[in-house]
Amino acid sequence: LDPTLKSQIREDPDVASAVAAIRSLLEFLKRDQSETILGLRENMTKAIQRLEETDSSVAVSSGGELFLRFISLTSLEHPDLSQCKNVMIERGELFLKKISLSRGKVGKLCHTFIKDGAKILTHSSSRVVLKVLENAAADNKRFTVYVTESQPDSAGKLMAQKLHNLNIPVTVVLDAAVGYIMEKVDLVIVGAEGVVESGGVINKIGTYQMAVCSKAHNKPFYVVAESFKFVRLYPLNQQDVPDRFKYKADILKTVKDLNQEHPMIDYTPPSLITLLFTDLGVLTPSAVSDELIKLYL
Amino acid sequence: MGERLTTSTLLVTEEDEKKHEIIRAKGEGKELTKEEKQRLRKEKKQHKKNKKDDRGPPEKEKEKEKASVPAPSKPATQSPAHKAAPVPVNASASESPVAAEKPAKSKAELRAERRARQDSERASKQGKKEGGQQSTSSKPKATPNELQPVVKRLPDHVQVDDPVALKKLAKKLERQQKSGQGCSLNITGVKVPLRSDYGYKVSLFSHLHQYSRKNPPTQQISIPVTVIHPSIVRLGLQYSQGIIAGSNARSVALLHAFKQVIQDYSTPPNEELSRDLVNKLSPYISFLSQCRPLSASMGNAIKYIKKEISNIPSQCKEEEAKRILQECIDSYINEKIILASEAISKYAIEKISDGDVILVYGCSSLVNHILCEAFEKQRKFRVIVVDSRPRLEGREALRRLVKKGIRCTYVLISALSYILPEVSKVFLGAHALLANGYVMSRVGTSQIALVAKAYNVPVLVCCETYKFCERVQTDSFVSNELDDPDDLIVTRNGKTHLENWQTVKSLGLLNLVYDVTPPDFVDLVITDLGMIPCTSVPVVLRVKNVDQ
Repeated sequence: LDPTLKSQIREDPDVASAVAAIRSLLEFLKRDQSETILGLRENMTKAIQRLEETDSSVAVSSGGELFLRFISLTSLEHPDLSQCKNVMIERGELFLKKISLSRGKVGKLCHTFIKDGAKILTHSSSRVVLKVLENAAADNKRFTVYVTESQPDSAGKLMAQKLHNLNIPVTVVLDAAVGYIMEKVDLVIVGAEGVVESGGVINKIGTYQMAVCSKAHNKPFYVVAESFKFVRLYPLNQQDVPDRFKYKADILKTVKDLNQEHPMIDYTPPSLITLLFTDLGVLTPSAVSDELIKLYL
Repeated sequence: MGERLTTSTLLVTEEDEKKHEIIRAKGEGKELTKEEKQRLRKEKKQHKKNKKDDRGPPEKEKEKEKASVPAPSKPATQSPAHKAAPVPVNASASESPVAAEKPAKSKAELRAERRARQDSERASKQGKKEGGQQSTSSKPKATPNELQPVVKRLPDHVQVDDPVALKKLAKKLERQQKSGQGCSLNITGVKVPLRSDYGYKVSLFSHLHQYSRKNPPTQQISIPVTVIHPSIVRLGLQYSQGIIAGSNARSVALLHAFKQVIQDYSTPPNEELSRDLVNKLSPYISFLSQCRPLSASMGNAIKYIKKEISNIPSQCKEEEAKRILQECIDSYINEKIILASEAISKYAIEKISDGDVILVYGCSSLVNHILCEAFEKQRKFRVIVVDSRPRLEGREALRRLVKKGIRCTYVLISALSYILPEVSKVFLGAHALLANGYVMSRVGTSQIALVAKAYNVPVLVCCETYKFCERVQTDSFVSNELDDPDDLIVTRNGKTHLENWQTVKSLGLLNLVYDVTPPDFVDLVITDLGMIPCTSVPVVLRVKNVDQ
């Protein structure tokens, strides 16, 4: 299972980590040898856990759970197990197809919010934001982008490179310069690793800071995320986010005292977010709970 | 009706005009007579409105009363009744200028006006039709404008400062009691007691009842068994004396009393159980709401029971039906209260981490249950119990938690801002969750939520889904409960300063029971369906309605 996931990610770096995870889960399902549906489910749950150990992002966990729910949310009344499995595999393929298209849907929705001559601030490297900016550029809109460097992995520089390739004027700023640059920008767009039940988002560390600054300057703060990132967490504050999401998977396994480590993600509460762009539509943070109830119940 | 007909002879001028209208109407059929009635009513209303504004609505109400009475046999008898209706309300002097004014307007103009008013009246009548024959429609306080299409009904217990509404309530109780008994008995003196208000009420809350605990509803009158079942009487007394308090306790006690009622019930010979039992329950419910206004959870429970009773198939035998109902009630209590609290504890325990300092307010059975469960699951935390006068319910919560072995601190609500910097989470119980996301709970809760928000402490509200109600409220004034004002009097060192508060005309004692907390102060609501933000309450209500 591990090698499948890694190979998936390597062959297509443009695909979301959750999509790669789901593809490998589908492969796993096809190869699974269990005799009963219950056994199948248990194996799938174990597989998802293994995947989370490899890549501890929130999206993998949420994508995995949604995948499992989607394939089993059908009548599995067939007497023959292989028939059931075929039904599940079919639904799995359907799910995969839907979510591969979701990024395009989000891009289409969001790019109309970017006006001509806009100055956009974004954080770290997000493929969804890239898609949005790509769509806006294709629509012949002129805008400039400021990207934060986003330490410790300098992902912002990668984003700047990609934007440069699209011929979009881009500037890299320090993480500490967010307050300084906020008065110049018109809007802030960030991606998300996970969208939680309260309508808040979990994203790369530094997002919360940016949200607080944009609220203070009254600039709109937009989040773009696909619907498979909706997760059934409800953090009350930064501390309440489970540790298994905060740090990278290998660090969780090796390091004894997590207090010495820097967390990779933070939680932005819904009061700081203006709108969320998802493939389910443009939502306010309070509508996220409504959608989650529909997805999960 | 008799007395009204005699007074009609005073109005000779009106009669002539009306008579020719009626003759015209008779020719055009029954429908038109209703329209005629409406037109006449509206005219009068219009004129009355110009004269005396506050007399207008009660008159409209009286005439609506006539409308809900079964269709008249003769239109002629109706018209004098119409004329008679305004008489008790207005001085007869105003009648003559009214009559004189009419010929001044041209007939066509008047007719056009009437048509417009008719349409709106008809629409409002449609809205009122579901009131049924038993209860007369209550007058809408806030809508004197007759052109509003659907008139909202305010419940009786929030119209205390309107004497006409009180009279209606008294009549309704009488009528209910009569219908419950059957026509053979002659009952004049005995009825469901209408409790009288006690003491001076603060003007902002004068639309609510204020009863004294020293005057229980059953003191002056004896209520025979045939009127109200003894277990309901006992329940009512327990409510009014505060022996049973807390919304879960009240609902469970209510359901148990109803079980007893159903057990002792026997269908009268020519009646169907499904319809008769519902009618039997209505006087009981009126009695209970006289003892203490019904809570939202009790209201939902009653709705559920009534629905179950009316769903009993007619060919079902009595014993079978009773058994079904007993089972329904048992399963309701089990699912909605007991199992729900288990589910809520499971979710809530996830939110309690080691080293937490948890603040609780008053005594909520659900929050106490959660804390005890968490303690059993070996979570390390300590509790701060906040309490307030005059109920001092926090002492009961303190007793229960200390008995379990949980480390507790006890403060009064005035020390809240002193203690809050130490607190990591606030757990609150709720009396009801309203459809716009507001939380209705014991008075003082919104204060705690506000201060906690200012200190950035997360506020968690725990509430079962059966307490969700469709009402919308944004302030604590519109619908609340006033407790006995004498509770506020305190005796210290043998001195009671407020002993003669009733003699001081400018002094009022206000003992509120509930307040509403806006959803911005609440971070999380834990229900048996899961953890939801406060703004998602209407979603849950929608899902529940779909289920039903």
